[in-house]
Amino acid sequence: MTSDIYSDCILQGRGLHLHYAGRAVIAGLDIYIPRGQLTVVLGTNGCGKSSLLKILSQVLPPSKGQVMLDGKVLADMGSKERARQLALLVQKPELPDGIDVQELVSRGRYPHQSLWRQWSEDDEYAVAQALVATGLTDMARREVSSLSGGQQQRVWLALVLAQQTEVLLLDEPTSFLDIRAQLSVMDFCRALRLQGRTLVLVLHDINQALRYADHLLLMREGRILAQGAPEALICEQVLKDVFDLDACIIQDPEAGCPMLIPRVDQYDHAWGVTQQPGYK
Amino acid sequence: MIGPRFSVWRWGSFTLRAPAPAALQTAVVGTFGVLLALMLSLTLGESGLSPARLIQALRGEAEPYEQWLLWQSRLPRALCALGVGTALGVAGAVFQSLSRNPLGSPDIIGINAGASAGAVLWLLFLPGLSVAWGALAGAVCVLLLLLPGLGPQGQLSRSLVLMGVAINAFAIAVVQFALTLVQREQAQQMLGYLAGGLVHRDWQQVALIGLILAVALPGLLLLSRRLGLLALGRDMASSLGNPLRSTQLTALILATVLALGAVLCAGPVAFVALVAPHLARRRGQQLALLRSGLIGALLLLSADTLTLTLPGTQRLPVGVLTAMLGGAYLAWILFAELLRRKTKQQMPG
Ligand SMILES: Nc1ncnc2c1ncn2[C@@H]1O[C@H](COP(=O)(O)OP(=O)(O)OP(=O)(O)O)[C@@H](O)[C@H]1O
Ligand SMILES: [Mg+2]
Repeated sequence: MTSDIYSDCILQGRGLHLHYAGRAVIAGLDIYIPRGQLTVVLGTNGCGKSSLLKILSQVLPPSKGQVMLDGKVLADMGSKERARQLALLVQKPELPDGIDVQELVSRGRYPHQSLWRQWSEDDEYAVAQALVATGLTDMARREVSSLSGGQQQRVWLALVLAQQTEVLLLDEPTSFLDIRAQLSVMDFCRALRLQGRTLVLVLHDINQALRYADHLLLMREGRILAQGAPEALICEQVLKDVFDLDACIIQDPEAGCPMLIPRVDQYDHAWGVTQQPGYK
Repeated sequence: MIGPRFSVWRWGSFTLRAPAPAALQTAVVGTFGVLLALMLSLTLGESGLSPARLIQALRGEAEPYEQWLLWQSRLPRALCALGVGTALGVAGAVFQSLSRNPLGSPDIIGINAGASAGAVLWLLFLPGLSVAWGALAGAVCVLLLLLPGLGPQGQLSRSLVLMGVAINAFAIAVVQFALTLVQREQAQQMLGYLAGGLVHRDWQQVALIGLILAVALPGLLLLSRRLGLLALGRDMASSLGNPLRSTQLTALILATVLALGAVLCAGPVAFVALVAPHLARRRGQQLALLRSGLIGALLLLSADTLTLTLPGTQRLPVGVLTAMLGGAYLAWILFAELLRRKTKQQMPG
């Protein structure tokens, strides 16, 4: 790692391994997350992206290897201390029943609280600010389960925002959102990065990743195949290696960054569906 | 617009936050409910005291026999019912929230049966010593068997209930087996213990359940914020800085202590731990632990009062009655819910 983007890493993992029931899901992986940048993790379904984020946040301790957060060993930090510096929004958070927006967002303040500091003015301010930033102020008293999927996603974002951490790990924050909502989440993440925060996002839309990321991590089968700035990294061969995808790369006419166009005729026998008789 | 309205109190950097309206409501309803149930329990039944006599006896101005009846028989019995009911209600709420399963109550996942099996084996092999030790050993064994359900990252899940059901069946089998091994009189003694009940409770038992509540309740209340976080799923809870394994382990131990206390004081009382949390949750999640305890207390005391008043039930162990009433009530709730869902589906749009 000689490139200067790695000279200042807020989060790094060395020799990470993770096994589920004896099967290696993350297999000897070194990772460097540059400070104050927006990193996007890309890879096929099941390649271990969510597992990687869980390791980076100590939600799943790695079977082998070590994660360092700002020079400190993550495993040695207190759980609340860690949660004040690093937030994780998991892919499928569970919604408690009968909870309203404000109350759910308030849960993000847990690491800042204690038995004798149950609700400080900072807590109040952070929650209000998170609601404003995500445009949820008007819905603060609505029951979360009565909101649409996209609105619920905003509530979860507000929760990790209220946590006021320097590092945010977001696992597919744009899934289930319409295109406008996706872009507004991405713009929102970019704004957070401009405030100096470090973000790591798992995305599936490669073009969005190319447009918004400062730093790309390409994963395959529990390993990082390539990492670096999007322009330098993306080429047809890399796409083939990571996604088994035939695509050509053009210049995004709007943003000027690379943009991918999948070639036609590569899914003919996908799942055998097209060959089924009687289906026109 | 729904529920939680919190009140916040601040003194410098010391801040407190509590759902004040809900707490007030619970306190008022609870006080009235408990007083009413106590009144009924002390005045009804064959040996019940009329209200006037009751007041006399409370002041110490009644006849010695009535004095004895109140202070040595009826009052400890009623207080025991309240204490055991609270313990069962709270233990049930904790087990259900840990296992994320409405069936995860101590009587179903084998804590009660384990304590019974321990007690029976103790009677069999060490008849000289108090059976309490046997019940304790049995409950601890079940707890240890359940612990692998915690997993390395502390994922406590539905498998807990499945394992519990298996342990429960095994413990019941042990009890049956032990009963076939012993002489008639001994079997009678064991059966009396196993059926549970609140007849002949004295202050010793009141003190025991009181002590257990005094230890376990504050502990669980301190844990309740952490337990609440678990509802976000274990990944979110742990990423927010909740040490999952220690939270769940502590809660599991405290809830087992409560269930064990209940078994020691009243034998295995069925269904209160299952039904009370269910009823408590019908009015929202807030203070669910406390409300579940309160409802458990009221349920058990009322059931005990019923056994005192219904003809022919004086010698019926209260556990049998709670099983009958609780089972019927739960079935009715589920049935009503099913009906409601059906009608909802049939409505257009
Ligand atoms: N709790 C678990 N137990 C066993 N195996 C698991 C568990 N969670 C994930 N896995 C396995 O680990 C591998 C990686 O899973 P992971 O969720 O990290 O993938 P992902 O890259 O996030 O996929 P996706 O894009 O579908 O979200 C998968 O093969 C999955 O089957
Ligand atoms: Mg994933």
